Amino acid sequence: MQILYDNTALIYLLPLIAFLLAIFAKFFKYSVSEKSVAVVSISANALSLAFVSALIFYLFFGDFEPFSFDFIWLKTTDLTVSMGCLIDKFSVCALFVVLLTALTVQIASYKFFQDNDKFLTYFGRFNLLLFLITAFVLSSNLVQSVILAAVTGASAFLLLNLNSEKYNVMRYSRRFLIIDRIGDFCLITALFIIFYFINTYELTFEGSLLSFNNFNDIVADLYVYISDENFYILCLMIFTGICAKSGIFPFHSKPAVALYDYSPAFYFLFISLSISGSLLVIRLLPMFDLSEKIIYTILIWFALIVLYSLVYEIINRFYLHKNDNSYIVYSCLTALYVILPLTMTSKTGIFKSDLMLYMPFIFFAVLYVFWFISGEKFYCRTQTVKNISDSADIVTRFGCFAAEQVTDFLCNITRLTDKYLIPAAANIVGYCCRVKSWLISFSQNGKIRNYLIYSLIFISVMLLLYLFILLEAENINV
Amino acid sequence: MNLLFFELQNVFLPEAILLIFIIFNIVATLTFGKRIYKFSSRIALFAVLLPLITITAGIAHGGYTIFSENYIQTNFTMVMRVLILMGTFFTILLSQNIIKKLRFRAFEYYTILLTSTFSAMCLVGANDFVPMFIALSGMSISNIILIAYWNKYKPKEAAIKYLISSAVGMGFFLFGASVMYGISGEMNFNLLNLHYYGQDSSLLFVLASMFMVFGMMFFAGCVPFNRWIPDVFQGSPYPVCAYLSFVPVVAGLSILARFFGNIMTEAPLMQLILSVIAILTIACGFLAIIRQTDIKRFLGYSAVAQSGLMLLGLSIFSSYGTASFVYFAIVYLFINYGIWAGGITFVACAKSDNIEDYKGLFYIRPYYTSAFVFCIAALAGLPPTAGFLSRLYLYSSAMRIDLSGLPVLLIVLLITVAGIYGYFRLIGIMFDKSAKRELFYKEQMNTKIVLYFCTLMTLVTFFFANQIIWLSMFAALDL
Amino acid sequence: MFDITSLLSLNIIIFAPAVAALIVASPLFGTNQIYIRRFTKTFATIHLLYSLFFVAYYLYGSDNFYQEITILGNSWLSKLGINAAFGADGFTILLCAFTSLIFLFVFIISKTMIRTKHKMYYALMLVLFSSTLGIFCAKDMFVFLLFWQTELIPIFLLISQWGGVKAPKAAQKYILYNFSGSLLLMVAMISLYYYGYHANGTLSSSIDFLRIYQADNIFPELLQDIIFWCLFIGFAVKLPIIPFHTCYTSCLTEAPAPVRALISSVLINTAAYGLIRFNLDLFPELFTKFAPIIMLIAVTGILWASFGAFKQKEIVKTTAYINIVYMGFFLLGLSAANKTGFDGAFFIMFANIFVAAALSIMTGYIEQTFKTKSFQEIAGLGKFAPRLMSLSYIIIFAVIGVPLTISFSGFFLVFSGAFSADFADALMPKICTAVSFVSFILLAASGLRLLDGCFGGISQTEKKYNDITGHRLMVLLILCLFIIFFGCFPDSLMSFYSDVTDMLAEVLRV
Repeated sequence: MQILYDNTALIYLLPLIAFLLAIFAKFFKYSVSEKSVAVVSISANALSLAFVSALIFYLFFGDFEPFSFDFIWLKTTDLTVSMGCLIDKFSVCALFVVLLTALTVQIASYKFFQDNDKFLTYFGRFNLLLFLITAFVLSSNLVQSVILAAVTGASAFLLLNLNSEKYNVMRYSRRFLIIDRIGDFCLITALFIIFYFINTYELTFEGSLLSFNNFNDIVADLYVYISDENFYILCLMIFTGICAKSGIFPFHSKPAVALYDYSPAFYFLFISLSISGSLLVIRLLPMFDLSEKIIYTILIWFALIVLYSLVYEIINRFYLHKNDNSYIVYSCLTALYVILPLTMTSKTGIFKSDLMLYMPFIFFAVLYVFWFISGEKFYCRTQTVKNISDSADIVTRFGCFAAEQVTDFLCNITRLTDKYLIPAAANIVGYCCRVKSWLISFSQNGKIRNYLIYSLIFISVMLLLYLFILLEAENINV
Repeated sequence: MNLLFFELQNVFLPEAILLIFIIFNIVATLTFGKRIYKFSSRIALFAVLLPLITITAGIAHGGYTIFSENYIQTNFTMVMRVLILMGTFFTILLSQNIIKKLRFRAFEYYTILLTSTFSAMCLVGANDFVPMFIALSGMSISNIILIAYWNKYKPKEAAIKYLISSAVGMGFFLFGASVMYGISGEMNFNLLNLHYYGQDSSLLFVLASMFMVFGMMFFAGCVPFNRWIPDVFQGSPYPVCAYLSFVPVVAGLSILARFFGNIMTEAPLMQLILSVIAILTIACGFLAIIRQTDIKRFLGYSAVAQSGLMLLGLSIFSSYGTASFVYFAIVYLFINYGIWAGGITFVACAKSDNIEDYKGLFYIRPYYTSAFVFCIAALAGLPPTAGFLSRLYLYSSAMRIDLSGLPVLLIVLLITVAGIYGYFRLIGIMFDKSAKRELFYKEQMNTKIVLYFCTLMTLVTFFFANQIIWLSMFAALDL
Repeated sequence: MFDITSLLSLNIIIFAPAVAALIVASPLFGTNQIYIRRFTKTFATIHLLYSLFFVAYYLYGSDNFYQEITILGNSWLSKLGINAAFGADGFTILLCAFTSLIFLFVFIISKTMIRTKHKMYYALMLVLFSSTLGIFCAKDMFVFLLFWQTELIPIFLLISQWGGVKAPKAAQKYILYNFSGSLLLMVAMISLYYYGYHANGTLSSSIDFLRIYQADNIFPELLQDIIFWCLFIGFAVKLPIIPFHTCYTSCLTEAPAPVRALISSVLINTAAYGLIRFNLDLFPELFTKFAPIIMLIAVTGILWASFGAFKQKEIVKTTAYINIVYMGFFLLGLSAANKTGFDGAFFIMFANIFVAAALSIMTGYIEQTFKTKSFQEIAGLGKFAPRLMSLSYIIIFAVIGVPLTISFSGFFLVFSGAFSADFADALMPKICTAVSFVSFILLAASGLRLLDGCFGGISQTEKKYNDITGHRLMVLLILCLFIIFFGCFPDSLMSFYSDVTDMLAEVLRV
């Protein structure tokens, strides 16, 4: 459909319109009512989601080819940076997740912030973050990704800083931004290293600088000239940046500080952290593919994360008898989303022992089992939840959990081969654990029966789809 | 070419006119002065304007000598004499306040003043040691009387100081001149020129010229002869200070310029000595400004520093350096009289000489203070005044065309920073809003005219600098 | 046909404010502050529109401007070879236009912040306006120096008369440092003046004339080095570069808010402009020779100032150190000695104009509201002033270097350029660049501290504070819009000066 080709920019421009409307309403009080702002925002979101769904349909099951367009942003003789959109299977899938989560969160926030005087501020900042996240997901080259990742971090900071009268909110959101900046500058340093090598060896590529369309060729060319050591350092720098952006250990306080001042936006922030990390990893997969050492490093890192969280949990629960909800879990979940696609690059056949590959998943499965047994609710912090109406809570949680499942699913199907039954199995175990936790958390609210039914239906549908793809066992490429 | 006595109108006309007026003033003092004392100022002004017109109208020509080559007229002496006459002109305008107190004795005052001017003009044109000595003594004696004339204790003390210092200076001069005569056997500058050739390495010659120079530098207030300046200035009334800070300085320095320009054109040792003396003078002047509390001492030390700068220009021994000196002198005329006019205006408001009493002057007399600040900026060498250009010209000539003057220039510029600190302290005090001031009595119209006119001229010489630089080059080429 | 170019005269742009200063200072207006303010603001608006004409003409006509002033038929001081010549290319004309804009904004915000002696204030500001434009447009060394030194008295009076308690001392210090710097400039310029004479035989102090003769090494090397460093130190005092920054921070603390906006945005840009026009333009070989040393100086400055910004206890000193960091980045970009570095350095000059002005206006408003500058006594403005808070977020994001704001492009280009600098020791620029990354974290920390310290928390007293309204809101809003606009479309700014940087980089390459 030609109309989809021409109007792709609408996907991220619609939230921008909602943002501008919110600002207008804020600056000129009483001109536009709060309700209309919320309606415009939610409908803009829904429209974008519909658009993206159409794109998914045509890309996966129709005859669309991935396409991109861009315009020049900054031009000097040595350097030309451009900005644009890249529509391919992965970006539309990620976009779908983001927009779906955003929609559910916005609906929940409408109820949550109904009598709050920060209603317009919240919706404005939320739409700004949504606009930037969609632009980030659709970015067509690495430079644009890094730039937009940085702005997204700043915008997330804005969203977290909503109640800045409270002293701790200030402190924690500041910490969030500083960790984010550390990530930004690891990524930018990596960019400069790449630019340096491109300039020194005078490599030329068609299209815009470091575009994702021909990223394979770029990395292959670079690998010829850069020594193994330098390449490893480059990849390590990028990975550190991604960890800092996504809140993976040792930057695991990021989700924690995000949760301090509870609002439904937390779930959206969590998704945005995970999506930004995993998107960068997937786009940069050709680079990680080429370096043996970095894969090892990442796997060891991941093993360390799981080990640390396990030890932390054990010590907290059995020796210190502390009852705080371990926010490191969120970090582990993000790590899972980020690292999972990465670990499936064994095309090069570089692993000496498959046990090395599966070890982290075994750890993670053990952790899940442990939580299952201890019956801990690790998806809500009840002490900070105040004045939430039941319906909003349920809808929010349902929406977010649905989003998580979809993400898992999509990450898995993009790199599925017949070697990966075991991690797939580990994931299934994870799903079961989550069901248990839902049961426990929803039991607090009493309307258990309806939501059990909904969740069971949803889980069974997901499992059916999963089994369907396993049986087909096709290589589905991005 | 030497002219005979009856042709003196070509050379000596301005001095002759002055002489006539001096005699008239003496006669008036003794006889009919009491009746026409009210016109004394106008007569004196006329006495100064008429020679000015004769010089500028070109009645007198350059290159002639008179009195058997004892007195010469060149382009340089013409320009310098114009400056001296204009200095006296402004002094007369500024003297109106003190003349009122003198009343019947006004003609006495003008006699002394005009005699001093006459001696200065003769000094500038002197071509031999003897007329130089005569002019120097004439100037110093008339200055002493000018200082001592007033009816208080302080002027007497100042005059004694000046007398002793000038005697010492003159003694040095005589000693140096006689040694020079002993070496060369000549007294006339035209003839000395020939004898100098090949005497560069003679230490005796250099020593002799140094002693001679000291005598002339006494008037200019150069180290080590500047100890008299602050005390004398503090003890004298404002117009006398204004006169003393300009006319003798310019006269002394121009005879120095003529002496070195004609006789010692290539003398590296002498250049070095003069540069060192100039640097020390500037340092003494600017460093002493920082802590002064009395406005007259402040302006006295500032005058020392400015004359040090002029000496720096002269120590280059080239026409470029002398041109920068002449331009500096022309600009300094206006700046100096503007500053002293401002001082007189403000002593009317503050009724004291103390700088601290100048606090808050801007708020009762904004326009005068602006003009005064403008003149201070010109002293400090800041644009958009002509002081900036004169300093720039001076520094570029001090650097010399092969950049060998770079160390000297760096030292001088370092010292100038201290001067800036002092000048800005004065400016800051005037704008200090913490004190309330009242007006004591109204100023004279003449003072205001001088103040505004001089401020305007510093701007005019800034914009039309090309013509004035042409004039200074014209003067410097014919010493 | 009516030729519009005959109306465009650089002389008018430069000298009109001086004439306006005379009009304001004359008895014509009395001391009626309303008339004085209206006249000044109207004049500044007309001046801005006039300079926008120049910008438009440059965009569509792409001609460089050059004009000489003649007095009585000769150019000003032809006997000494000094001509009062003014010229402007794209870069300069844009700088002049932005200067006009900032002065207009400063006049607008002076309404509430200056309460006494309006006549003198506006007259001095207009003189400063004229001298700044003269510095940017001067095509002759001594004319440049003339306008450089003309700024001293107005700044002295502006700081000492309307400033804080310790203002006179701070003003004295500023004068001493700057005057010493300008004396060093004078020494270097006189040497260059004679240099041209030796090379060509005619005395001339025009910059174009001197540029041609750099290839001839007539003076010994030591002397050339001395001249280069005299020029550098003369500009470094005003820039300010780290050993000389104490006068800048103390004077910024004591100055009133409009003067602070002016000094931090426009006046330090004149020093940056001087570095480009003299050190870089006239001494390409020496610049490449000393580029590693200059890079070390820049990195030291960046680190010192970032640490300094982080440790301050009051808001104004923090913004002063942030300015010094920006100028450190400017110097880093220059020392990279390649086109990307120059592009970045120029971009940072422009970024500094907007960010510094916005920061000063913001801190000035906060200081006026709370009547104090220290962090301990300021808190909780966010509840009462949401508009100011939103605009401050934009400004602080610009300070931090968040992309899509104006300073990110500058930082990005500077780092790219510095990283790929071509020095003899290949590792040094990379280490320097990596080390100066640390400053970003510190900048982020200090910027956020500024933000949260002022707007977060709850105020101890029970007072209610007013939000920013009216003219000041418009000014801050327009500045923030510029910050975002040039952040999102940096190419629009770079098209003005890309040919200048091309030319500079070409000379260095050869």
